[in-house]
Amino acid sequence: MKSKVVKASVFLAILLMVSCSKDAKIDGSNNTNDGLYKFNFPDKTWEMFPVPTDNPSTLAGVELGRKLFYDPILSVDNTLACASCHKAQYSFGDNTALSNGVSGLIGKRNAMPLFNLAWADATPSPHKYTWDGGATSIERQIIAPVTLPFEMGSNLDTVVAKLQRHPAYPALFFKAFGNSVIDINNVTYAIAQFERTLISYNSPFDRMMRKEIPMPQEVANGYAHFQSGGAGDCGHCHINGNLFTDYSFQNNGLSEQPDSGLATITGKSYDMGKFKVPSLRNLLFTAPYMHDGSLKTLLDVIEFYNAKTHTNATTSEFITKHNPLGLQLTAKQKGELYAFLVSLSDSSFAIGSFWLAVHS
Amino acid sequence: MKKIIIIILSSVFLFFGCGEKGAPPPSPAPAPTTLTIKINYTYKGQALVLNDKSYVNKALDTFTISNFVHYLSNVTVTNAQNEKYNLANYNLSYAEYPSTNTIELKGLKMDNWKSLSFLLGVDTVRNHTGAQTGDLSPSKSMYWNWNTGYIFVRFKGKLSNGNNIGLDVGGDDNLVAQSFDLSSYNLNKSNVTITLEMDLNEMFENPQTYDFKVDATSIHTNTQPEAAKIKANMVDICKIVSVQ
Repeated sequence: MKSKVVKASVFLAILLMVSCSKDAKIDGSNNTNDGLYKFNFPDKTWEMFPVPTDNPSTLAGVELGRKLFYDPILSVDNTLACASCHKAQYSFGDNTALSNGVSGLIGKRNAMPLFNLAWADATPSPHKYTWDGGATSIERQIIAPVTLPFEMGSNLDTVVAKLQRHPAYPALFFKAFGNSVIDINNVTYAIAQFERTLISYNSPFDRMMRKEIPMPQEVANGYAHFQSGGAGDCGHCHINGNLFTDYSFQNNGLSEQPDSGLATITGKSYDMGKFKVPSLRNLLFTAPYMHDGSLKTLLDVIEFYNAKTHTNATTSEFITKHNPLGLQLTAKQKGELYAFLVSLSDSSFAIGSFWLAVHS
Repeated sequence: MKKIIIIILSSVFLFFGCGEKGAPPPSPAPAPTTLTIKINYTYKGQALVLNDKSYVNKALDTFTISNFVHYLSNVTVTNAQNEKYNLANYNLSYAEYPSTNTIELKGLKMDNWKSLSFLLGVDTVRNHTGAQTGDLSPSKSMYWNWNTGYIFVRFKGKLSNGNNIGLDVGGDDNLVAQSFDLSSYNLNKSNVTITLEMDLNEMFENPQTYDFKVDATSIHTNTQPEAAKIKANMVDICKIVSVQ
């Protein structure tokens, strides 16, 4: 009798659990029953970014976007894909200051690493994507590299025509958007869906904060310098939290005569030399640094902020308040800051994405 | 027989297991009310122009303003019986982005509300609750990571001598409370819009003249004495323009 009561209780408990479960199955995959792509977040401190209502990420859309991202069909001469300059092993950036476009032409901006992009959509500014803030959404950003002569040099009608003639793409577009007649909007929508899935959250520093591994004293000290308003003073723009950027545009004093930056878009003199604040994640994979790729190593970057910043009309107050002497970190402090910054590099993201790229 | 009992038990469990716990039976809902707070930013009574216009304060400093951001939280109304209703909102408003200058608060019961109050900042409890979500998310860049708590008010600009101004005011002691008498208005209606004027010149005078030649051009801790000075001045930064 007793065992039957136990059995009944177990049965009831299971019934209760199953009948009340409202959440999607948590199995580490991105599958859901309704075809939507399930974004993976490590814990509740990661607040979901806004996803545009007219372009939710679906499994079919993400897969199509991934295929397009790696396909040189988007370039004028079928030689360059998005992934040619945004390489998975470099956290979807490039390891040269300026990447070669079609016909060997080069632009003037370093290929931005691509991860944790969509949180820019949580900011109220219309300037969200690219170094100079020219794109208001991920979808719109995609137009520029496809068409710029020093990047993929194609034109949108040609891209659509090539995809329409392709043996596989019309069916994939039908699967993703319910329409096998391809238009350029759906091309950008699919790539944007894929890019939203590039989420990096598993660096050693994250694991230290989750108490999965101990935090070395050197990293703890570096983290303190990063946060300090005195020593490192990094946290105003590369804010503490999960993202290590506030997605704002700032002139960090890189050059005495800065490239126009955000002013290219706004036409305002007070935006001269302002560029998007990049995340401090994955720096081990994203050298060289800055919008022009002019700083070769992470130590160069620390040394730059330590003693080589310039003040001009639009330089951020967080730089000017330390000038002309700079941060004046000791060698020990610089080493600790380096240790902290390196700990933010998520090899599971870079290697995992690279593995996926090779095997898909 | 036992099987039947189990099935009955299962049904009972299932029934109760999924019910909304403690939900009272639905009562007739009061008329839905939306209280809208709209903020107009000004400097000496004129509409604020960011970056492109020079302003002068009482100490005769000349500067442009590039950025003004603040929290507005805990909108509370009080009726004739002195009953208070706190809408428990936490909104971040940017002078630069008009969409953030209108705060719509729903769920307020219709009543002839006699007074309105709110905080320019974050109340002490939530200020020390750690990283939160929505407008209180650290990703909004208004979270002081080296000193727990939020930046309540951010003012950025540039002095005519080219020096940057960056004033971040926060800390429990620097929380600014605002309250207004509404007794002359009829608020017994379902949609009320209260338009406020927030005059940034008030940060720099009355009672204490803020002089950028002497006072800090950069405030980034809650303990800097200039933060308290700005807080004291901000007590009269808002006034009601209209109630409709």
